[in-house]
Amino acid sequence: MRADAPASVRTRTVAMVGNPNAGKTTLFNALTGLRHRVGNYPGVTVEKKEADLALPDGTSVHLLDLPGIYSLNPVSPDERITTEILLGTSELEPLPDVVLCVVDASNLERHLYLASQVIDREVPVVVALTMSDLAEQEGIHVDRAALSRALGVPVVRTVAGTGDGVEELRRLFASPPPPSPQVRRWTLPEAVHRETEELAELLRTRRGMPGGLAWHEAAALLSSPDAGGSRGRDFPAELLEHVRKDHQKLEFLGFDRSAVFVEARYAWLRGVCGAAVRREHSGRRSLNDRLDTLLTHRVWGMAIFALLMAFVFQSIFLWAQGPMDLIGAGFDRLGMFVTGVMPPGDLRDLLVDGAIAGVAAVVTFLPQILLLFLFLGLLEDSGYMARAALMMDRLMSKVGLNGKSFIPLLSSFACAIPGIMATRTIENSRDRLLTMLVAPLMSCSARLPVYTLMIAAFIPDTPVLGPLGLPALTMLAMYLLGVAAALGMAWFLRMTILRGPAPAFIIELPPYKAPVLRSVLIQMWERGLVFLKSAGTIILGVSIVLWFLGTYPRTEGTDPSTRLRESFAGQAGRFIEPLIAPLGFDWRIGIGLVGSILQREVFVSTMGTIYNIQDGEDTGGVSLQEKLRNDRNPATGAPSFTALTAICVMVYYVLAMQCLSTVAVVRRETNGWKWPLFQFGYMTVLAWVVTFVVYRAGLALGWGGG
Amino acid sequence: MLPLLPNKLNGTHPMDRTRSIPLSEAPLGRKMLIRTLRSKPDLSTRLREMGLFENAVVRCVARGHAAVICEVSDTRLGLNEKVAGTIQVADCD
Repeated sequence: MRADAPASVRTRTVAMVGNPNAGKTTLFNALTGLRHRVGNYPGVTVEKKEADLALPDGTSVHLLDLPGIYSLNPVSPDERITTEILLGTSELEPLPDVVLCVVDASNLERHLYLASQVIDREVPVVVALTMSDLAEQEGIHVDRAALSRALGVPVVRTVAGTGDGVEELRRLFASPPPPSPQVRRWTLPEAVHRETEELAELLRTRRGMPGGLAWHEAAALLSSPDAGGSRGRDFPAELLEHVRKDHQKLEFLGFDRSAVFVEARYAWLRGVCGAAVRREHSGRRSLNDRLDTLLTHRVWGMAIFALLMAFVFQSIFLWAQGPMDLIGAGFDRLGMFVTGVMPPGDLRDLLVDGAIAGVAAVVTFLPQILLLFLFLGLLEDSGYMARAALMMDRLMSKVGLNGKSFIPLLSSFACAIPGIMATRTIENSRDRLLTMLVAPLMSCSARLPVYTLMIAAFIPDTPVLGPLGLPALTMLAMYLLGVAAALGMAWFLRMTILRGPAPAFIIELPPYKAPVLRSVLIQMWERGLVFLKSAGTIILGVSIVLWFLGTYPRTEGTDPSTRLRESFAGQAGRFIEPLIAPLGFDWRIGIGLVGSILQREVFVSTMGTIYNIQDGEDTGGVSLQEKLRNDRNPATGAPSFTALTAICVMVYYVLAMQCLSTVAVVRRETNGWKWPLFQFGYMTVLAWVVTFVVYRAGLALGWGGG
Repeated sequence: MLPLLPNKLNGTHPMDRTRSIPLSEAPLGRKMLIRTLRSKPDLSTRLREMGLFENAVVRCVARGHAAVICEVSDTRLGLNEKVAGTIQVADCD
C-alpha cells in the first residue's frame, strides 16, 4: 500500500488460518466482536466469515476467517477453499495481503506444520500463539523470541479470555512484516531436492507460477500417487510425462514419495521446537490422561454420556418453556393489535392468521434452538464433544456412519435445520449426504405438539414403572422409533445406493479446558440468526400459501369448520382420504396432513379449526382433546378416533418428511433438487408403510376398540 | 541431524528386528515408535499430516469402545480401531 495513497483507497486483506481447534474462532471474535458477517461462498456450501476493521491509523482491514485445515493438501470442500485462497489460485478471493496463522502453544509442532507451509508460500505471515496459559499449565513454555527467529515472522501471544495480544495484532495489520526469509529451511534428501527444484523451475517458467506456489505444486505433484489426476488436469502432456519419469526415478531410488516431504518438514520443526520450547513435568497432562480414560471407558464413559445427554435435553425442554410462552403471548398481542387497527377483511386475515401466526410458530422455537446451540458450544469448547464423537463412532460405524455424524444427528432433536447445516464438518461427501438424508428422522421439536395432543387425548395415565406412566413411555417410544429409523435407513442406504468404503475416523482431541463463555455466546447467537433467516423466510411464504388454501374458496355465513372443509385444503384432505384410509385416518386427519407437509405443528391448529376451537393451542388443549375423544362416526356411532389412531398418527409424524424448510436447506446444501426430492419420497413411503403395518397389527391385536 | 534414509533400505536396519504390532494392541502409557503405515495413500497422508508418520514417537493413552486415544508430540488423537490397526509400532530403544 503506497504511503501517499489515501487510506480509503485500498483495503488490506488479512486471512486467518489454522488447524481446527486452534482457537481461531475465539481469536476472530476477540478481534471483531459482533461486527462480523457470516454467509456462503458462492456456488459452494462453505461458510464465509468476514469482518471489516478500521484501525487507528486509518487503514481499513478486511478480515477473513478461513475454514480450519491441517495442511495445504485439501481433503474436503472446506479445506479446498482455504488452500486455494492461500495459494492464490482461488477464484473466490485474491491472495491475502497478510496471513495470520493461529497456532496452539500446547501443540506447537503439529500446528507449525501448516504455518511453515504458509511461510513457504512467501506471503507476509504473523503467528498468533493461542492457549499459552493452558500450555503453561501443562508445563510447556514457549520462547517466543527464539520461535520468531527460527520462523522469521513475528509471534504474538494471545489469551482467549483476556484479549491479550489483540492490540499487538492490530498494530501488525497496520504495518505488516515482509515475507519471512526463513523459507524452506527444511532438508530433503539430495535426489528428491534436485527433482523438486527442477520441476518447480519448469512450473515457474512454463506456467508462470510465482516461486512459492511453484515449489508447493512441484512437491504436491511428486508426492501424489499418480501423475496428474485432478491436479494436472490442464497440464500439457509433456509436463505430466516429466512428472511420471520423476516418480519412477524416486521410487527406483527407494523413496516413499508420499512420506518424504512430510518427514522432512517435521524433522525441521522438531529442531525448531526443540530450541524454542521448554518442557517441565506437570500434573495437568496426567489429569488429561485420567479424564480420557474415564470418559471413554467402555462402561463409565457411556454412562456419563447418557446422563449428560439426558440432562441437556431435560434442560432444553424445561428452560425453554418460559421464553416460548412469552414469545407466544407476544405474538398473540401483535395479532390482536393488528386486528384492532385494521378494517376487517381478507388482508387483515392474511396478516393475522397467515403471516403473523406462521412466523410466530417458527420464532417460538428460537429459545430451544438457542439453548441447544449453547449446550453444544459449551461441550465443544470444553473438549468433551470430540470424546463423545469418538465413543459414538462404534455405534455409528455399524450402520455405515461416521462418529462425526453424531453431532448433526443430536442437533436434529431440536430442529433438523441446524443439524443438516452441521454436517459441513464431515469430510467425506458420501457420509455427509447420508447424514443429511436421515437427520429429519430424529424427532424434532415441531413434532412435540402433535405427540402431546395425541397422548393427552388418547393415552390413559396408567403408571407402568413406578413414577413412569404410559404417556411418558409412549413419548419415549416415539423418540426411540425416530432414532431406530435413522440408524436403520442409514444402514439400508449404505448397502444400496450410497455404497462406499467404511469411513476412517481420526479426530483431534483438544485438551480439556473451561469453555470461554463469551465466544460460545457469540457463536450461539450467530447460529440462531442463521436458523431464523433460513427457516423464517420460507415459513413466511408458506404460511401465506397455507392461509390461502385454507380460506378459499369462500363459503359465506358458515362456521370456520365448514369453511375449512370447503376450502382447497379441505378438498385436498378429502381427496387423499382413500390413500390414508388403510392407515385408519379419515379426511379430517387428511387436512391436518396436507397442512403439515409444509409445517408440522400446523396439525394441531388445523384440528382446532376443524372442531371449531377458537383459541388454538392455548386453552384449546383440553376441549380439543375431549372433542377428539367424543367424536363419533354418524353412521355407526362408534368412536372415530381411538388410541390406535392416535398412535398411528404419531408414528406417521415420526417418519414422514413434512417440513418445507428442511427440504429447502437440503436443497441448498446439496446444490440440487435430486436429493431433497428423494428424501421426501423415501420418507413418505416409509411413513405410510410402517403406519399401515402398525395399524393392521393393532387391529389384529384387538386394539381398535380403544 | 540424521540424513533421511530411503525407506527401502530400512529392511536391513537393526531396529527392524524388533517385532512390530498394530497401534490398537500397543500397551498403554508406553512410548512406541511408528514403523509403517499400512493404509491407502489418502489415509496415510492424512495420518502423517496429523503427526502420525514413520519414526514418530507415539504413546497409547486409552482404549475404549473400538477406539484408541494416542498422543504424538503433544497432540492427542482419537482413532477408531480399524485405523489404529493399520499403524505398525514397535518399542523405542
